[in-house]
Amino acid sequence: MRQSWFKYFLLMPGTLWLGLFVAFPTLLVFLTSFLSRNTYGRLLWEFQIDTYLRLFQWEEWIVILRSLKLSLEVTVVCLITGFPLAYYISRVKKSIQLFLLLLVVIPFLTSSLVRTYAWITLLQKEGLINRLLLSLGWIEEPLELLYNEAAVLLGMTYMFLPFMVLPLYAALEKLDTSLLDAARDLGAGAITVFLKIILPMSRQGILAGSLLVFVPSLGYFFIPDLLGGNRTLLMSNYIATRFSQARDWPFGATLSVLLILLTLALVYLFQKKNPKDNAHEKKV
Amino acid sequence: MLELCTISKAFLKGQPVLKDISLKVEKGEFLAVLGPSGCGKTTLLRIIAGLEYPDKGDVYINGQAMTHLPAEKRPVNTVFQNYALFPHLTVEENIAFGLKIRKIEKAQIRQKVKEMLSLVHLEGLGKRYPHELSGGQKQRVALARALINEPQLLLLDEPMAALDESLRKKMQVELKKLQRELELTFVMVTHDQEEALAMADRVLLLYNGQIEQEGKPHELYYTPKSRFAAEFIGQNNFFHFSQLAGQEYQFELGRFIFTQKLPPSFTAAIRPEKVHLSTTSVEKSYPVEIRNIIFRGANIFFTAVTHDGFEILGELPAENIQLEEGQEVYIHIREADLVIIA
Ligand SMILES: Nc1ncnc2c1ncn2[C@@H]1O[C@H](COP(=O)(O)OP(=O)(O)O)[C@@H](O)[C@H]1O
Ligand SMILES: [Mg+2]
Repeated sequence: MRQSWFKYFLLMPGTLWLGLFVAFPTLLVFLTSFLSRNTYGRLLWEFQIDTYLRLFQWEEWIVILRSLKLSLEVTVVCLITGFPLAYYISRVKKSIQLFLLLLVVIPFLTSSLVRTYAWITLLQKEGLINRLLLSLGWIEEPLELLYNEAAVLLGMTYMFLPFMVLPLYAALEKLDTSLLDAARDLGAGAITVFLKIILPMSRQGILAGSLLVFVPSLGYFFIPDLLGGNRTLLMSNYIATRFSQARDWPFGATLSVLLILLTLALVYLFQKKNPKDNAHEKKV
Repeated sequence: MLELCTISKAFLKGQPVLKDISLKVEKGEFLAVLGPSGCGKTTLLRIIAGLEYPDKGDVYINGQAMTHLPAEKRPVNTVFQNYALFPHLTVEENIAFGLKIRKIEKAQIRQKVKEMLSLVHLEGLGKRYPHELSGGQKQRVALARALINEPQLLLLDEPMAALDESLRKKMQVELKKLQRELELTFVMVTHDQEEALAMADRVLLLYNGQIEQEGKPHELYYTPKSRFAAEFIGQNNFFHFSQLAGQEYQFELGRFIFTQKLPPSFTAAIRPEKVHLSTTSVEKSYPVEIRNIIFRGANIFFTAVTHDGFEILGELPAENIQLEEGQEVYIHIREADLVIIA
């Protein structure tokens, strides 16, 4: 009895923290989404569900779908670029592995906002890349590298790549090389070894990495704001402007609720996929 | 069947692991490569399998040069040291792996997997995952997974090392029976001399990357050619003989007169079971005191100690022997039982 009491005592700070800074704000968002506002944007204690009905309008859906599409693209690009990197890191000597992992996470030491501004100085018309290409004579006119979807994709991929690489590395690092030898011994060429051994055995990491990239990329608003200009309207910056310029808190909150539900659904799917299929990973 | 010609291999910044290894294996033969841990046994198998390439030398299988052919193209399969079963596949899927890659018809694969499961006595376990199997069962799956491809040559890397003693003995018999009945060609590496002698038709003793000795099990056991071979295979007592005059020599127990001409100084070994005891002094017998009697079922082991404190290990059938610690007896040594190893 005493022990279980003690256990709850230990859980208290964490629970308080989560309650105060996660559960409570989420409830506020949920509540706000059902309130009304006056013409100046002031919240009124009058309940409504019009904001939810608005979600069924096509104009809103375009934004949501564009958001999902971009997040999917970010996830796929992170996966394609992150996989070889994680595989390489997992195969070199342990001491070098640590060094390379350090390089992967070092960008986190700087504010992500600052790093996004850095991309602007690289990509803008008078930016480093354009000037370099001009001076090399490869282009006549500066390229439009900034303020489009590609720039947002680039910035997001850059920002979220470590979230893909780390879980992939964790999965690949456990991959026993003798399995690859065994597969080759049984007649599998490089492609078959990849498809039948490496890929299925790193499924866990692929799923975790994809979730860790897909979900936050849906909600990151300053990258599309800074690199996409106002031409790339996504769910994230759409929500942000509902709260700021538009002063339409109820609708902003409604969109947030949608985002939260989407995220929860994904996490749920991820959890459901895992326990059964990866029973083998517990024992090895 | 298999022929290796002067194979050498060194890893980056290291001593050569294999030095000029040449060997031949006939069809249907069971060759054991025996050697202490780290002597390059696994490396040798990997070179035969194509998972590693030699720095020098050639590999021929059925007369065809395979030296630079990758593993997936060789008619060879391996049972790996820790079995290397695919953890994400069931037993059936593991066994079917090789056939699936060769795009064999599904019904045929199912039929062959069934045959294999019954061959290795794993009926009913096909749907399990490797982590749900015992060590012995894993080993059988590894064996079935290799054999289903009907390899011309099966390589086994310490196949019994992960099994416990009693299971190991049982599997040794079973594996040997399987090899005989299916007329398979086996190359097995092991550090367990008993296992090598028990199972193989021919044993190759590897030491420091070189072939120390090669021959039938009883040849290696009874006529070791070097001190290493004599020490590594079974137990041995070593004596150093130095010439006094003519055929008369001095050694640890006293004087010994040989009937043959021998070098002035040499080492000879004698097996514990060749150490005979007598209660009375006879020719070529030496007084000792018995110590440390160990009962091992059919046999007993004892240590005989001379006045100078030199120890000799002996072995006798346990039946009809009344031996006591502290007893004073004579050791009798016959010239024919001494193996001269330079
Ligand atoms: N891939 C490798 N890289 C470097 N050294 C290796 C490699 N594989 C084996 N070795 C070295 O070669 C020697 C022989 O190894 P191995 O063939 O595995 O021995 P055994 O199977 O007889 O125990 C060992 O000293 C080992 O450290
Ligand atoms: Mg080995």
